[in-house]
Amino acid sequence: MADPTVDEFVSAFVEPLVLGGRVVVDGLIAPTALTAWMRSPNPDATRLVRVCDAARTRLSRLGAVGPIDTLPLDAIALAAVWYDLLAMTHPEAAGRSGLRKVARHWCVALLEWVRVPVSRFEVALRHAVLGRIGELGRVDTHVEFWAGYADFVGVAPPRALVALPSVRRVRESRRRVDLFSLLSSLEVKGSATSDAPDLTDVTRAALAASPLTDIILADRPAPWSFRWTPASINAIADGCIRGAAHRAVLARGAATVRALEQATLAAMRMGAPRAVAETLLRFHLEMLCLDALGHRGGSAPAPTTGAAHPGAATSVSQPLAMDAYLRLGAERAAPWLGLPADTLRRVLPADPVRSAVKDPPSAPLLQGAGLMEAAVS
Amino acid sequence: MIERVAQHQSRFRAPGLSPDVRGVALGPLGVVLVPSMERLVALLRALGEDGALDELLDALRIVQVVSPLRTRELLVEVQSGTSHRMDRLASIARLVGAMVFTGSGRHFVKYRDAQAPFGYDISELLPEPGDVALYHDRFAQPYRHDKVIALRDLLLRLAPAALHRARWDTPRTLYALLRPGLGDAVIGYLARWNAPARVAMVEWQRGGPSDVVEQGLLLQLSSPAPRFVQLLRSLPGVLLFVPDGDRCAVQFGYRHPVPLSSCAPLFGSDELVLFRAEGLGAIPLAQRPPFVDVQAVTSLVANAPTVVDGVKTFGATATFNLPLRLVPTGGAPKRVAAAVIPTREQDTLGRILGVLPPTTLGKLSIAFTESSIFVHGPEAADAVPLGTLYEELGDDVYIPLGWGLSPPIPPDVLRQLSRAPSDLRIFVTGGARPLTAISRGAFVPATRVLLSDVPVVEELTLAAPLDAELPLPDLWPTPPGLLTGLLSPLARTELPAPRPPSVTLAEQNPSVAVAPPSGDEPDPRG
Repeated sequence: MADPTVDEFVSAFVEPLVLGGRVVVDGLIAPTALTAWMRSPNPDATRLVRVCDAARTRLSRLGAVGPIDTLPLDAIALAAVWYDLLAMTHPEAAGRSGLRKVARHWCVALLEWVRVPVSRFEVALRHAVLGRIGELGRVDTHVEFWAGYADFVGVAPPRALVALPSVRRVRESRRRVDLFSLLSSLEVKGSATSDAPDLTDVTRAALAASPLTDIILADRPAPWSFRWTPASINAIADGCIRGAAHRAVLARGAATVRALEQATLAAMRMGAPRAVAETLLRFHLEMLCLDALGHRGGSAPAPTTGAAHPGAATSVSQPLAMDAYLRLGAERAAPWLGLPADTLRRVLPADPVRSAVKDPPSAPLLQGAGLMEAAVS
Repeated sequence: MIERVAQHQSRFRAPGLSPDVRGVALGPLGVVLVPSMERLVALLRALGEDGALDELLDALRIVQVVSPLRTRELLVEVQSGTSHRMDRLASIARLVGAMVFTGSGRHFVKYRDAQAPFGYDISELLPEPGDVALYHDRFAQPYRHDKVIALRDLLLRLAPAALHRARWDTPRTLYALLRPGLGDAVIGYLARWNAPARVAMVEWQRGGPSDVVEQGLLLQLSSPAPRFVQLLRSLPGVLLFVPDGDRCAVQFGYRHPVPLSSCAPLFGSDELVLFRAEGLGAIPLAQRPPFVDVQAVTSLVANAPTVVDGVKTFGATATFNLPLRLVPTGGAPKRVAAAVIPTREQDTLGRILGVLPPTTLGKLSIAFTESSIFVHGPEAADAVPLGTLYEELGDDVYIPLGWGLSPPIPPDVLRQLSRAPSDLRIFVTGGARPLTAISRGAFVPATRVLLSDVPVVEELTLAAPLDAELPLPDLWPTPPGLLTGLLSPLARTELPAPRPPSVTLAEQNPSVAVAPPSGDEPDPRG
């Protein structure tokens, strides 16, 4: 797709990405397309309304949202980065180092223009556009017939090839390759050089440019494992984004929560500043409290979240947050959550016979937030 | 055998050869040697597509010749005219694998090509040229005439070829040839739908050894609707033809191998030739049939009503002045459709409406007058146990339940006599002025009249929306350049213009700069 217009790009990529459907990836989009996009930034009005309605519906599941009547260009440009990255997962692009250099150059240029989001609106709209990026996948088809076999990557086999299946002994098997399996082809085996650049870090930067999506897809595999970035920390420092992230993360389940807690501990080990530690502590405590509140009304049997604290019922095990809460106690934790201590005790009853843990997982977090003195050995 | 002509050469051994204005050796005739009939058809088709065929038709002659080896080939003779015309003919002939010669009488030499831009001359004449002698750089050979093939006969014998369905277009004029037995049904159908069609009876000889004369009806449809085309195509016994030129028509879905529009001079000005596909042969109609509009034909066969004579008609000029009254009827009452309630029972009606189920209430509409309240609801009015219940007589005329009109006039006549516009509901209430008319617009849904003004307190919501243009807190400053670790010198060269700052954001918090003034300056948050 050589320098498409905004409308062409939105119809080929953004609209099916937001509404669902078949995403068409054909060639790379150069940063020069941005110049034309800035001149006429609006796609076809009917399509814009359709996409904006779907985006608002998606966001309204995470929090209160007003009317959305435009698609900001930074979200579209970020989608263009993903478009280029997906284009590079084409099997024929695997061995072409020159193309890889061009793609890397263009993606970096686009990401430099997109920059980190600085407002709640930007964080929300970028997630509205890219929120389903994790659901993208490619369907590969393997066809065996009487005279041999054929593989079709991302396209359906011709009808003539699969015609008369019983007579021609046709067996067709489809396999869906998920997003991160696709992206694994962007990784250079061995050491990356300037001649054969690695696109993994570009992918990681593209994820970080949409912090809410980055947090919600925290359970992704290596080498894209989740790490707290300045953009995501600043995003969750906002109460509204934090609430949206909590709802989405709890809906995804235990693996995402576990990945976030491990990323928090990793950030603490790297010496995050106190303000960051406080934000992370508030993030985890609020998520624990939200889960407990949400679980009280649930009909599912209350699982025990650990031997050390059977009293509190949550749907997802959050050992880091629960340990921090138990160490702090309801009296000290209540101001962090903006709740009266009595209410907090009813929501998260602590078990009085908790066994002592020699190396509590929340110690680095509490130390970073200035709530626990570090032991000097 | 032949030699190249030099520039300014003026004397030639070949009889009739002379230089034209460009110096090209040219005889009065041009001859195309075609190895087979298929190539001949291809040549004619290419000439027709190119538009050159109608220029050549006046002197075009096709001769089957026999070589000394008894092989049969075809010669197409045309007037050479100018070297420009011959150049065009030669290029098309080479395309179909034919050879081009020029000359006169019996000797014809190869026409010019790229190797000899001024043409060729004969170095030595054949001692026995036969009927025609052709001189080529690869051979020189006498031929004997076998027979002359008329182009018109050839065209009539060629069978139309099927067209791909995607190239079927609905033509502006369409001919349909019907078996006589289908005539009444098809013509009646077209006449009923007022289709712009004309019809004529045609006769033609079956041809070949048979002397049978066949008959049929030929329909001519102007700008036919696609559904007519589809219907006629699907009828057995109906053949559709699309005009190709003024004098020919080819069966719908087929094309003649030679563009017939280029061959108009071969057919008479009053002639119409229908080319049928699938080996049925062509139908040459010597005279264009006289077409008559299908309406005219249909009216002849339609059963016209018998005209009655001797009856005089008068307009209604007088009435009987009978009073309109309500009388009890013994018939089964219809469904309650409305109720008329005195105004004094307004409070009771309000309390009753207040306890009705929402589905019933939604089907009621109410109009207030000075003396009565009119409740209308064909499916729910019986839920109101007040006043007089009314049933619908028809045409939005309502009459009390269990009563009838005297005299028993139908509702539409009553509406006409009352001169009430159609947007009025007429209630027969009886008395000296028996009709009461209420405008339909006066009826409002019952749900709207239950309450007076409702006090509203506007509350602000606590939850802030996700899409508010509020700057994010800045806890962990982004290092200068988001992609510090990724940036390469190459990446800095062709960056597009920096993203403009959000106006709302800058207004709300001037201390937060969204985009740095220049690309190389670090972010102020960093």
